[in-house]
Amino acid sequence: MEKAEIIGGEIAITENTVHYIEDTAADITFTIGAHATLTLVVFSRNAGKSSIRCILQGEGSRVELHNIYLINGTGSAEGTRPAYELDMQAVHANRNTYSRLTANGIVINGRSLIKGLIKINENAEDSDGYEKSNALIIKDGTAVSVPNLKIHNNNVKCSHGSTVTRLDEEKLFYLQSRGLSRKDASTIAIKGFYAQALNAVSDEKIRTAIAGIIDKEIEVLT
Amino acid sequence: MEISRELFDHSDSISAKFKIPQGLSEEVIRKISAYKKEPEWMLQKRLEALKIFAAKEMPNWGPSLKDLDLNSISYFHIPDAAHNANAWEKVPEEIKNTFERLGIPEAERTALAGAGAQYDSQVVYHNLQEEIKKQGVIFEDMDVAVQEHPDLIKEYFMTKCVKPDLHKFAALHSAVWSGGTFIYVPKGVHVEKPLQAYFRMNAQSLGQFEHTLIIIDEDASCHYIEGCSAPRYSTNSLHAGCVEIIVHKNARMRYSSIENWSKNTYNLNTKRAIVEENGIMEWVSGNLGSGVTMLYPASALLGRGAKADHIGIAFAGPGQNQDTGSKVYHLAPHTTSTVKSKSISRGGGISSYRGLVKIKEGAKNSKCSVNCDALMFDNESESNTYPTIDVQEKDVDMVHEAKVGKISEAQLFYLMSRGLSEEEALQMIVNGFIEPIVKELPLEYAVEMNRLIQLEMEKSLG
Repeated sequence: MEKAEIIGGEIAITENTVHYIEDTAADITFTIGAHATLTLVVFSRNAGKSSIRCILQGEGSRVELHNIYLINGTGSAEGTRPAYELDMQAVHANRNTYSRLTANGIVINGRSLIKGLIKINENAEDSDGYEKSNALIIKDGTAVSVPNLKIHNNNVKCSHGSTVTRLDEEKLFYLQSRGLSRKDASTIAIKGFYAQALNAVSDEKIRTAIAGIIDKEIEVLT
Repeated sequence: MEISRELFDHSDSISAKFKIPQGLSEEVIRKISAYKKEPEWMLQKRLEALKIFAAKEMPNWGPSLKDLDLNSISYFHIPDAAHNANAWEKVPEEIKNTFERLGIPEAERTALAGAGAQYDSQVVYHNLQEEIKKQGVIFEDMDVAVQEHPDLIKEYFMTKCVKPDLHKFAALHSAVWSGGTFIYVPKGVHVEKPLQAYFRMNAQSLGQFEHTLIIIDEDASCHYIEGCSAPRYSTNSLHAGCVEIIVHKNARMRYSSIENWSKNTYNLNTKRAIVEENGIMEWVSGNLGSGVTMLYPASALLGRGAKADHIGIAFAGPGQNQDTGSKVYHLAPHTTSTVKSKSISRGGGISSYRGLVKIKEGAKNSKCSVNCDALMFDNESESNTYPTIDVQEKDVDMVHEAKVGKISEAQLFYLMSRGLSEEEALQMIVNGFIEPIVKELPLEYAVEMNRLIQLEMEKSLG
């Protein structure tokens, strides 16, 4: 696990690797070799633009990309709302390759633009690609999601999903009817939203680090 | 009814009564307008659109249009038939044969309330059963409607729904449009049987630019079906039609179309609906033919509680590029939309879903769900999904899902172990895949759609 200040450039992955990027914009191309797995967790509270490309170059290469973000522009003036932009890509360039690209985040008084692309090349048989973007909007926020698929091989599994939701009033009402304050009910709902994303992160140290930050932030949010 | 590709690709030897030389100019447009004896305001509208057309750029996204030469297209063409013969007997034998083979009079006799068939640029046959005429329903050739219902046309024709400056081909359409259908359903009237028109291009290198304008007044409802095909020539043809639908308060409209243009047609069509308070708009689309299709039916949900359903299927075979999708604009609170799209690509065909869902700020409690499934037959083919989802309001629920896959060996093996041939098994799986869309079509169209797909599939096992 490493935490970098500014991340950029091209990185070759030849063995199973876990990377963690926190609060910094990134512009990286990972090239993943045969039978190697890249697990990349990106946690962002900053406005700005990140671009992460994963080339599944070797046979049997795998990538798991977890993007978790929290964009809070409360207090910022109209017109200066923070904007978060993420461009994530997986290119399946060999057979039996696997990709999971996810982006889960909350936008409060800000904007998010999540672009995703999974490309399966003609020679990438038996590949499996999946991308998913979930955005939760609180107060004033806008979320744009562009999850693209380009598939050139028929012997593959590939799908994507995208949701934009708000805090469910009915759930909040239910929790309040059981004696919780509105603030506590909202906290539970937000934690629940992030828990789904965090549970998918297999590295425990990273999981705990992000959960710690989110817990603190939620206090300010609700 | 026998259906084969040849049947649709067949070209009749018809002498043109009035044909303007190829290419586009102010003179051509004045000639079209003069031939139609149009009022001055329509001519002005055309000329204005021509200026917009000249100023607009070609689309710089999606399939390549570099082989489409807009100067070699013939923009107007009238077959030698009495305009709007209202009895089938008056229609010339050859044209009648074409329509007979496509099953139109048969369909009309049995199920449909009225059928308009567009042969090249004019409607040669148009009929509306007496009973709905009495209810005040207008089902008319667009050219006739300009003369007979100028107030409605002036108010709605490319003013509210599709404006000529929407894009280059909308401007082109507005400049050279000819024929098409006008439907007006008065307040509270429910047209029980579907109305239908069949469009067909016959002349070589012909552009077809029919305009469909449908107005469903408050509390009324209607179902309109369009089927389109063109014979095969070696030069490229262009179809740049336009469909405008206005669904007023509490009204309901269903628009179904199966487009089966020949493989060298560029189908660059514009379809748009505006839906007022509590109105419901349903689009059912099938795209089978054409070399290049760029078609994105759009719904603008203007009124509170308005609803749009889009269901579509695209089939891209060898040499075909089906670039289709749905656009939904949520512009008012409590609006809902669902988009269901299925695509099949085989033999090097490219099918792409290119869609847009936009939820404007203030469209509180809006709901939207988009679902795309793609089936790929082989490695030469391509399947793409480009959905854009733009949510500017926090009180919304938006879900998008897409899946791309192939026919599983296990499914095939199972069906073949039950005694089906490989071909039958494939067809059964494909029929199951498209079933949710086919079941929304009236019977005759469902049968036609299934047969056409079957036909495309037969070639796949060559």
